[in-house]
Amino acid sequence: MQGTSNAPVDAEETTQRVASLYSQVLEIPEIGADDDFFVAGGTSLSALTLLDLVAAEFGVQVPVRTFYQATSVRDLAREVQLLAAKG
Amino acid sequence: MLLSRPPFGPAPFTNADLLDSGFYARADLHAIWTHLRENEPAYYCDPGDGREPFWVLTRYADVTRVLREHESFSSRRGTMLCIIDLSMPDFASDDMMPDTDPPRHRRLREPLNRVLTPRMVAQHEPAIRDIVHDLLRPALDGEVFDFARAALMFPMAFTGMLMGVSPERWEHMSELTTMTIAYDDPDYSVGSSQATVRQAHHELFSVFRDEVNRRTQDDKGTDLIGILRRMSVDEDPLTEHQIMLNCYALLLGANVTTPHVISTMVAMMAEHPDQFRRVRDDPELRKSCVQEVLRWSSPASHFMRYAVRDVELHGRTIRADEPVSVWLGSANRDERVFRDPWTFDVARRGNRHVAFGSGPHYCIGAGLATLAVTAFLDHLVNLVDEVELAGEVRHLASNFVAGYKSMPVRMTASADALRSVPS
Repeated sequence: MQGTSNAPVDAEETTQRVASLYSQVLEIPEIGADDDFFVAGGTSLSALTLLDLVAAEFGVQVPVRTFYQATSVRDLAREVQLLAAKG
Repeated sequence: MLLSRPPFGPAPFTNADLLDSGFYARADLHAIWTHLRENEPAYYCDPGDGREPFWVLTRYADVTRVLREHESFSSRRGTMLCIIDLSMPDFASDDMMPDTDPPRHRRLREPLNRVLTPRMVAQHEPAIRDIVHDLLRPALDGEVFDFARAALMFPMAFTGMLMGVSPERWEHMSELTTMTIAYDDPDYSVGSSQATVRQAHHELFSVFRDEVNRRTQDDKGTDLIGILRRMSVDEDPLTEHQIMLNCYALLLGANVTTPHVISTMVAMMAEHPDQFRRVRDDPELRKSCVQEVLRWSSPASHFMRYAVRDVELHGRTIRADEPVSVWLGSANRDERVFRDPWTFDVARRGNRHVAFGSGPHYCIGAGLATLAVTAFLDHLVNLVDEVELAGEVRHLASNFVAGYKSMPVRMTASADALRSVPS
């Protein structure tokens, strides 16, 4: 199984990259691993943009249902890793 | 929500109950509203758990005043109590028609009004009649039929057509719209209430985005989505976000309300067969019958506004920035306005019900809904001789929609129906 070149390497790096996508969408500079997208100001509308960026960044489509059970940076990063591992 | 009548038993409630969707599925709200109309017409409801306190207005005169006086009661911060219930601030302010105030409201509404004029709506009548026929046909075989369940899909078929959304998406979209208003209902909830609402919004927005992107720049389409794409507000075309939000508002307005009007019609036909024989024998009564079913069902229970300035009401002061909920279902039983409000009367005259709201935000789909409900009534009295309830009626857990989740009925097909439906 071989991922694409920008597929996530390790959990730590994935978490950081997800965090910077949160920052980009929410337009706030500092996002921690435990921050929740909606508590930090996200909406169901901006979440569309977030999942688009996640798909562009990691080459994986996070299902909408999965995202709403995993809305912190760390949880979404874990789902991204799982999806990337599945190929 | 129970559509009850006096005499009412004791109907105790706590302030938190008035937000709790589950309470609306099991409690007798008409008993509570009747008490409030009489004794506390301006009721200050503090849930007492950190959520924002809100006013509860139940009299017809106050309900219509708040809905009309947009200078004093604004729609910009959201128009439904779920905002307070779930502590989720509104993000559609000034972008989604229901969450705007005049004059911006009028600029968003006028182009949409042009698609929903009586003449435009009438063009869809044959298609709507087919949809009604398809809805009733499976109920005519004499078996027990869950009418309320089937009715949930009814508006989606004609709004889907009007919006130009592909039919294979309709069933899922209908479920998603119900999720947004019955987020605490175990049959619709997916995790927390907030997650349920957000996921449903997200999935609906992405359907609308797909539909927008499916069209080319040159061929935007003549349906509602096409109209929204051609619209401009203050010279600027609508943004993609604004298009998605307004598609959502239009779909929600139709989907979560209309099913419960026709389900109520079926329930009332079971309860008052004599009145429906009158309607069948005298087509002149169809118009007043539809209006009475609208009054009786009042599927949109409330709307919310935020006070813009201090307003004195019944010796109390509503302060600027406080949320005010007005209860349409209660106004439609107000003894001060309706003679014998608890009598269901298909021949009622001067029925000034507020099931479609009042003022600038009066339901933009009222003409379409009335046409669809009338088409349903025509078919019902032609195809069905008798309806009986055949099981437990279950109500939707929602503080916004007075609706049914399940209504098992047995229908006796008329001689006309037996002639027209091959067996």
